[in-house]
Amino acid sequence: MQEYREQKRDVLDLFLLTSAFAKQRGEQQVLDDLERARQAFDRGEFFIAVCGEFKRGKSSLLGALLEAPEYFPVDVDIATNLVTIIRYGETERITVHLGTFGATTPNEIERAEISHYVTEQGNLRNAKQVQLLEIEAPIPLLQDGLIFADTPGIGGLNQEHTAVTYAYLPQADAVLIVGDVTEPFNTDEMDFIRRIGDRGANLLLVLTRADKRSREQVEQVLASNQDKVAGLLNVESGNVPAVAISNLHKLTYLRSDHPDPEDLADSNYPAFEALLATELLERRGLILLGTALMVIGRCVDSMERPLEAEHQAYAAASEAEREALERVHTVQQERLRELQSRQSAWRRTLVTGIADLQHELADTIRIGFLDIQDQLRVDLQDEMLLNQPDRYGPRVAARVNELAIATHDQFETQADAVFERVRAETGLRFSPLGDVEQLPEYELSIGASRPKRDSASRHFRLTRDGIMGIIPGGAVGASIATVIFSAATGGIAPLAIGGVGFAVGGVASAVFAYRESHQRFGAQERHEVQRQVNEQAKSFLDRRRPDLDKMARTQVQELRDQMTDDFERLIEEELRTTQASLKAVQAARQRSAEQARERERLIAEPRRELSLLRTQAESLLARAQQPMDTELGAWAEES
Amino acid sequence: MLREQAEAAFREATQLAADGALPPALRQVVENHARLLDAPIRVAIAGRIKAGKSTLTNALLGEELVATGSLELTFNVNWLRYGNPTALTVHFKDGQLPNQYSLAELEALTRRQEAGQASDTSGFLKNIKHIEVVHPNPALRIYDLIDTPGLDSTYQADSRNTLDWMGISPEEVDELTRNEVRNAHAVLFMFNRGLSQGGVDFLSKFTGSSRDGGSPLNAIGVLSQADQYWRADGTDPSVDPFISAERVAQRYANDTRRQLYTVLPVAALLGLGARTMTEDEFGTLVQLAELPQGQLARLTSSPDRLERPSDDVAVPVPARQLVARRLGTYGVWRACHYLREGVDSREALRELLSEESRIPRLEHLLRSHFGNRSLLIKLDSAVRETIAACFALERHLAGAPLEAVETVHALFEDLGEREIGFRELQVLRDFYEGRLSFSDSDGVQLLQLTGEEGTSCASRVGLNERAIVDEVVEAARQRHRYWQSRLYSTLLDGPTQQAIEVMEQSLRRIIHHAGEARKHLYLDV
Repeated sequence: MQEYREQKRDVLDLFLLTSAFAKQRGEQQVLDDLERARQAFDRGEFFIAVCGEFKRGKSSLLGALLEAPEYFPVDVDIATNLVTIIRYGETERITVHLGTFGATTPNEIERAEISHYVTEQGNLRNAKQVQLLEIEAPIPLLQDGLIFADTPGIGGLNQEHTAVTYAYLPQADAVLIVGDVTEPFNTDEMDFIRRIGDRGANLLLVLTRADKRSREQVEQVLASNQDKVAGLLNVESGNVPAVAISNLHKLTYLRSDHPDPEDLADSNYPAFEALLATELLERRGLILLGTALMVIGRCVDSMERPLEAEHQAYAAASEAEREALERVHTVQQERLRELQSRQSAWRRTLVTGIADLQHELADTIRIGFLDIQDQLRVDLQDEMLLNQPDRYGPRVAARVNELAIATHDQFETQADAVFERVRAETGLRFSPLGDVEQLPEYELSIGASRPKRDSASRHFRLTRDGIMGIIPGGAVGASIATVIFSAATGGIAPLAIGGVGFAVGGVASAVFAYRESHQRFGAQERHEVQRQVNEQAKSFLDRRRPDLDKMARTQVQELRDQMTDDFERLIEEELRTTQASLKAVQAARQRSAEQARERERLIAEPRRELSLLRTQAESLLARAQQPMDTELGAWAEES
Repeated sequence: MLREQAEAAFREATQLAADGALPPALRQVVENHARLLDAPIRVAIAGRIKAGKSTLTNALLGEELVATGSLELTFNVNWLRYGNPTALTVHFKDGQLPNQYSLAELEALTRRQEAGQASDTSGFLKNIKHIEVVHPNPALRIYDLIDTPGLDSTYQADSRNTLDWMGISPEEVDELTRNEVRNAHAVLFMFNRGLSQGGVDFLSKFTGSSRDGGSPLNAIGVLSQADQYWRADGTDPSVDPFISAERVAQRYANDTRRQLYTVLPVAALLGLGARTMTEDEFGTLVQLAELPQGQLARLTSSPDRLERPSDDVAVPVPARQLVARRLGTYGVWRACHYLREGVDSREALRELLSEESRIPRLEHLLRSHFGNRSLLIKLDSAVRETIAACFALERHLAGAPLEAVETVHALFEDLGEREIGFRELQVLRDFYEGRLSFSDSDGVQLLQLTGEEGTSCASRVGLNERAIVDEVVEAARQRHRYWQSRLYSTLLDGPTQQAIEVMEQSLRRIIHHAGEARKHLYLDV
């Protein structure tokens, strides 16, 4: 993260320089905009989700990576059913959230108490109902805004755990898939990777326990996993970042009174950290830096354009040219005034786009629920499930959660598309700095895949947030997670299906004297299970459906209001700059040659300073777009 | 007794079959089971990929017979059974006649082709149903071992191979699969981290009725690679990994007590390496044991370090590499520990390390839990499956064929209900499934009675095999009185009531048999 830290410092410096200039020019509006953006940028966070099957060493990995094993108690039998979130804080604060999903109460605890909640020994089968452990601590590595979420194991006995893990993925800037070198990825893990691979998140395969196998074997398993994932995501094997690490060596290094560099080197953590930094900076880092620079660029632009217009007026060869110049600005002013009017075409584009979006989301939800019912019908024919009816509840709940996430994803993608259509309609361009890619419209069409990673050249893409100068802020705890948690609650409690299992079991055992190898219920018992499950599932789905519809409706309405406000603000800003430029040209035309020369001399310095600020912003953007130069260790493989 | 009655039932059924009176599906079931009566019990080793199934197979055999490696290797079901001379037969899926190969070819037939499986262009490997290896290994006299490919493998065909072979179809269980004979009688279910849903489903299907989660009668859990807990999270190397392993195993045992008899942690690689340790390897270990403790701890903190060339270790790299691969780093560490403690012969070290691996304990368990009851377990599945097959057929038949099937049905139903051995087995199941209100000592008596410690009358009443007849009779009487007194206690649930009846009846028989034996021994007519 060293590189990012330097770039961040440079961007913060540029904020200060630009603000100083704005203050000197008395540009209060610009000053306010800059301050707001600077603060958001300074707070900018990186959210990393740590995923993997149970007992892969996820927690020890975090302890070793953050060099803070005290927060991750050592135990061979760690509870896998809770989420741990760790972030930077000036002072240590540890909170456990107890209760059922959606209805938890926070409790502050001491560091020494953590193991009472997270280990099987201290909290057998999560009798204490811990859902979330939040840690704020003065850990240096987190100072750059890194937040880690240690998620429940995927693919274990409880499907809900997987659903909780999914809930954190929409916000993740990078996803660590934790496996280990003693065992190549299995079907559960591959299934998980396939599903999140579709989401376009930056994946990083981390294999723990490198100390358990010879180097040759470690490399074999690493390559085999890369091949599998590459095949799955349809990319080159070399494009799948993967690294093997040893928690044992890293912890030995950390605990030793005389740390041995060989322990650190053999742990391979330096390579892992470098790789993680690359993954983070490639996307999130670029977005943070790029958006901040875009705000600076816009501010510079709004101060620069009137001065440049005035200069052009003086530099014009003839009165006719000056008149043409004034006309350009007048026309632009008219056009912007037209955009401000109630009847302007972009408003209709926006309203139609939003209406379409609303319909499409409603469709997705409707079809999604039909699919869930279809899947339930298939499940109700499944012999094994029929014999364990208490598994139906979590299964249905998990599918509703997945649908919620899919709907959210669709919303995000299509919101960008609507925004882009409206922007095209206004004819405005919003990239004041060079070398920025406008998000092409076709890529935003519905269902289009997200851009594949391309490590050779990185482009800051101008998306909704980028244009608006909205620095994406704190990621964790966004609405989607809330939806998931409340959905999960509904899944467990009201679908009280344990009773069904009991009743059916009783009937069946009276019927059969012998346990046959492929025991089946009699038609009647079978039918009874199907009926009861069906009934409860139906009532569950009937209650969840309005929640999802409401989530979509609220999101869409908020988007409509927000987008309207944003465009009005942009148009107004643009109009202000245009009017200032027009005024400057008109004033210039009134001046005598003598006065003009005097004015030229006066504005030369601010013009130079502004141009310098712009150049600096552009070169910082170019630097942010350079691929990171990262030292990789022996077991890290990267294209 | 039991054997004679069973043989009689089978004789009658096969006679009907020979007369052409039985439908082919039922005939096949009956003939298969009749054949199996004299064969050793078949133990399948199943589990997820990389759970260490092949390594455990080799450890139980005490020789490296099947291939092992760091990627998913086992591609086919390997069925190992006793016989001399060694022979290897490949059975095909497409009905092609079985083919003989040399043992040296086993690895090539089993291993997945690592470079993209390009060499299996003809689909030869995929066409293999299972590989039968006949080998004069003493362990195979007691049980056949069936090494299977991993469940949940990303190579879908593997999981499918295992399921097919065990008679489990992933689709809706079809009427006809009831007629198929399950190929394995018992299963060693292996896991190294935890139980996946897939594993639980598999167990439920294998152990029979999935309605109540199956029975632990024919399934033992094995927590493999127990040495993985060595130095977990940087703990001191002197801490015994089996302390953690036992704790984890205990928790899984609690979670699966309706599917598995018990969960035993083992270190199979160490067990195999110990049993087959060569003089050269012993020499290497002696040299390594001379290193200072701290340096040894450092060296054994990973295979990579143990194998890395370094100036301050005199032992040549290839020799170090060999012991690392054969024993694992924990094994090397423990071997050096024993050598430093004064162990001075290869045999003694082999013995100690072998004990340490817990493989002998697993073998003992296999013998007591499966071996002593093998006839009962085999007959139990024969009875259940024959009856199931009859059930399925009766619905579609009429006239003479129906009568023949009904005859077989009655024969086996009779056998199941009349024979005290089966009733004992049912009690044992009820006991495992927690349906009996039994005290701990009641449980011990039940296990002994059902052959946990041996099948002689003495073992069944908790005495040493060498106990004299009078002692046996006395012990049996004492126990009999206890159960008889309970026979008339009221307020007991059905299963417990039945269990007490069976206990009483079985002990009465033992008293009778022992009395008979005394007559014959002492001519006390």
